Parts: sequence; C-alpha cells; structure tokens
Amino acid sequence: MIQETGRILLHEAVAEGISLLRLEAPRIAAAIRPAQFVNLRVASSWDPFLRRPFSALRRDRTGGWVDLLYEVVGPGTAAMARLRPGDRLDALGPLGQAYNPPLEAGRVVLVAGGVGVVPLAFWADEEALRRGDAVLLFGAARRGRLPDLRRLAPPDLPVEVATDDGSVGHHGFVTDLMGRHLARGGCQVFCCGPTPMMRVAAGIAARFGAPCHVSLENHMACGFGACVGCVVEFPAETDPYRRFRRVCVEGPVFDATQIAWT
Amino acid sequence: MADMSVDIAGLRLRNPVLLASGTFGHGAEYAGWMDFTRIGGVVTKTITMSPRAGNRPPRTAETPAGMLNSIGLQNPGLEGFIAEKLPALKDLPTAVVVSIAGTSVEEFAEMARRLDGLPGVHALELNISSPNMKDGGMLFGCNPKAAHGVTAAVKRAARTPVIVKLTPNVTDIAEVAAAVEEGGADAVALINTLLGMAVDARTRRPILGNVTGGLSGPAIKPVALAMTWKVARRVRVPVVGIGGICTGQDAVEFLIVGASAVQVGTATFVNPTCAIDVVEGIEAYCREANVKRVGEVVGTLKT
Repeated sequence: MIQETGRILLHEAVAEGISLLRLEAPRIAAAIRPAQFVNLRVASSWDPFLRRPFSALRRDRTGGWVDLLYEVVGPGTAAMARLRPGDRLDALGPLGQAYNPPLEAGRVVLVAGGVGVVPLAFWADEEALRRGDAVLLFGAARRGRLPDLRRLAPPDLPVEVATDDGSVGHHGFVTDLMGRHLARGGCQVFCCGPTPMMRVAAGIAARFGAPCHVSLENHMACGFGACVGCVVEFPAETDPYRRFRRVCVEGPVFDATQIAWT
Repeated sequence: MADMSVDIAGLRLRNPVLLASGTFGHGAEYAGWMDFTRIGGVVTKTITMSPRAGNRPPRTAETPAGMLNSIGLQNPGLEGFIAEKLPALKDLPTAVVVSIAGTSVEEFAEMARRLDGLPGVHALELNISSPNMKDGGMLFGCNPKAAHGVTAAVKRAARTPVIVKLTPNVTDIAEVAAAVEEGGADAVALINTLLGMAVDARTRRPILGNVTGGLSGPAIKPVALAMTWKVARRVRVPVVGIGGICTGQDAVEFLIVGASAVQVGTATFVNPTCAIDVVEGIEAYCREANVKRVGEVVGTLKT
C-alpha cells in the first residue's frame, strides 16, 4: 500500500454522468494491476468523511499516471466532479488482489455493466487478451450512458453492446449475450457490474458449466483490511472467523460459486 | 521537546496516543507501513472466547462527518488470537493492549487468566460497551453493578493492568466509571460508539444488515469530550479519551478536560497514519504552550 498525493492531469466527461480522471501518481501507477483499486480522499474537510474507492482503468508506467472512470452517485463523487486539472488528491493504493494471470487455452468472456467495464478493460489491455480468444460484452442503460469504447478497451478486442432501451446494440440485458458464446464450451467468465446483473451472469455461467469470477464493490470504510466492513459471505466455510471475507483484501474478485448472493 | 510519556494503568507509554480497538485489526494490516515507534500503543480488535463470524453485511454506512458500523466482533477467538495474531504483535515496538469481550463474568475472567503474563500482552481492555454484541458487550456496560462485577472478576484473575472501555449509551456514564473504579479498574477508556441507525428512504430498509450499529468519527467528538470531562471529575484512575479524534488539537482538547491519554479510531480508516499526525500535533501544542511535560496539560480546563 502506497500513500501518494496525486495531481489531476485530465478530467473530462466520457458519457452522461460518467467521467474520466487521470491522476499523476507515479508510485501507484508503477505498482497497480488489473482489478486493484485506489482509495481517494475526495474532500479536504471531514464531510464526506470516508475515502472513495475506484478501480483502475489504465496506467502509463512511464508517464506515471493512472486513469479512473467514475459515475456521480452521491456526495463523494459529486465533490470529485468539481475537481479540475492541477488539483491534488490524496490516494492510497494499489489495494486488493489483481486478477490471477490467465487462463489456459479457452475463450474469455468479459461481461461488463456500466462503469463495471473498468477492471475488465484494464485487464484486457495489460494481459493482451486480444488473440481473438476474448470478447467484451458491455451493457448500459442507453446510448448516452455508453462511453466511447475505442478509448477504453484495446482496439482489437471484440465488443458486443446491449442497452436497456435498444438505442444501440442488443435491446435487452448484457447477460442475454452470454449464451451464444458459452454454448461453444471452454469459456471462462469474468464479470463486473451491478450486483443483480452479476448474479444473473453467475447463474448463466453455472448453467453452461463455465467458471465465473465476479468483482464486488461492497461499501468500504478503510479499503485496506482494518475495519472488516466490506465483507462477503462464504456460506460453505465452517470456520466462523473466515465465513465473512473482506472485499478490499481477499477480493475484490471472487469465484461466483463460493459467495452468498444477498 | 516536551516529555510526552505518560503512565496509564501501570503502563509507561512513550506518548499518550494509542490506536483504538477495531480500527487497527490485529496488527497485520499495518505491518511494514506504520512506524509503531512513534505511537504510545495499540489496542487490538476485540477477541471473544470462541471464534465469531460477525454480523451480516452491509456492516458500514457513511453518515455526516462520521460512520456507522455493525461489524459484530468478527475474530478468531482467544486461542486463534494467541496462535495466529499474538506472535506478530509481540514484536511491535509499542505497548499492546488486548481487548476482550465475554458473554459472562466467568468468560471474561477465564480469558484474562489465559492472557495474563503472555509475552506481547501489556494490558487488557475490557470491552463492556459494544453495541453490536447481543450476548454481552453493552449489556455489562449499561449496568454499574454488572460492570463492577466483571471488572472485579478480571482483576482477581489477572495481574495484567486492566482498562475498562465504557459505553456512552447510558443515563450516567460517570456512575458506571465509578463502579468499575471501585471494582479495581486501573484506568477507564471512553467512549465506545453511540448506538445509531441509517435508513434508505427509497426502499424503507435499514442500511446496515444488523439494522442498528455504532456511530463514530468527528460527529461524536463533542459527546465524547463532555463524557470524558464528567468521568475525569468523578474518578481518580486515569481516563483515556476516545471519540472522533482526527488531529493533535482534538487530542489536546481531551487532555484539557481530563484525559491522560487518547485513542485514535475511525480517523485511521481515512488516514492510516493519522495517529502519528496526532502525536506531532500534541508535540507542537506543547512547544507553543511552553509545556515541559504533556501531563501538565491534563485536566487544565478553565471554567
């Protein structure tokens, strides 16, 4: 864990309510891996009180910056939206575990909902999941909520889009797109998005016998394991102390078959 | 520089700032990150006799200038703690206070007996004040007689110094403080969290899985100061002030109303090395006030 005062290099809207923030933080940028996150102090006062965690989208190891994508959902991200290039942010990171290195032969199906695309896009970029053996299924509410994918994902990563209102791509849920790929067999699913969508994705993966990993974002107080607040339940665990595990330290990525979907 | 050392419950601390229970885990979370030679001590996350899973999530909620938690004492149990956590704690270059909670007077005493004299256990903090433990915790801390009984039983069972952590969720905290002093407590620490709740108006559901939880953070500092002041006037044993401390100035305010030491809790979640900032802030205050010993600040409120 590194604590670093980062400088905002770039801050711009990429879709309705979704912004990209480029933070110059060389030590964190050098260390961070896909699925790991940074925890930002967005206010200089004590209100909002807690840091806000953001998964990394991309980094430039030589330029020393890391890109974050976020959606304004409450007072913390609203305060963040008012920041401008040149402003400084106290950052803790990298936090959490990175995705395990891929992945023997087999097709990788990445299933993203909204800003949940962030760790998956980072992973696809860094691990070069572009050998034609990976596909990104990306769901959004409507066209306006869909960031320009050419700026997020590696250019040669095949992408299929679904929108709730059908304004672009498949008219329906992103999880509707999974079956056609999984039916070919030999697939692994990695999913990040709203909990209801991940629960559905995990169910579909299970029906096809495909391993499925999900990225959780439970509410965190500290982000580095001290508060034991952001836990997820492992119902089959017999040791009570290990029944609830921390998303910030043991996660954020978990095997979908091992966790309780509450 | 002013002499920052203090004596609490027979423990000599290099300075009056400790990390509060439940905000530092059992040590591993800060290994290689925090310079423990800079702080007075740490209080471990509360352990119970048997391992506990804790409460179902969500366990935290942000509130104005603070937060609620309903962790529910997830811990590896007494023997798990001794086997897995204590070895690393033993090597920390600072005082280690082990926080314990029992479901009965006998269990408190048995835990104290087992921990007494183990290397790495410099003092015990009795958690009789958790709002998240249905079968113990606050049940003992709400009743002066029960609080007295637990303290006396632990004192009979162990020679280790005993600090009793008090709950603010009572009619008169000074009454409980006096009772545990009578029971033999070497110091009292206060306050634990205030019982609180958060509700989602849209879904009409509680935000916490446990429905209620404990409020902490800067929001509770005025309450904690008032209670520290009341208790310090009532008891002769040292008082450890806790509640919303984020800066050296916050800490000094607690010293002025009568605390001999302080604990930094929730602020650590926001700034992991906050306790060191607090130490430096107290040092700066002593310098400016031309104080030679930090103890000279204690109980100097002008009324």
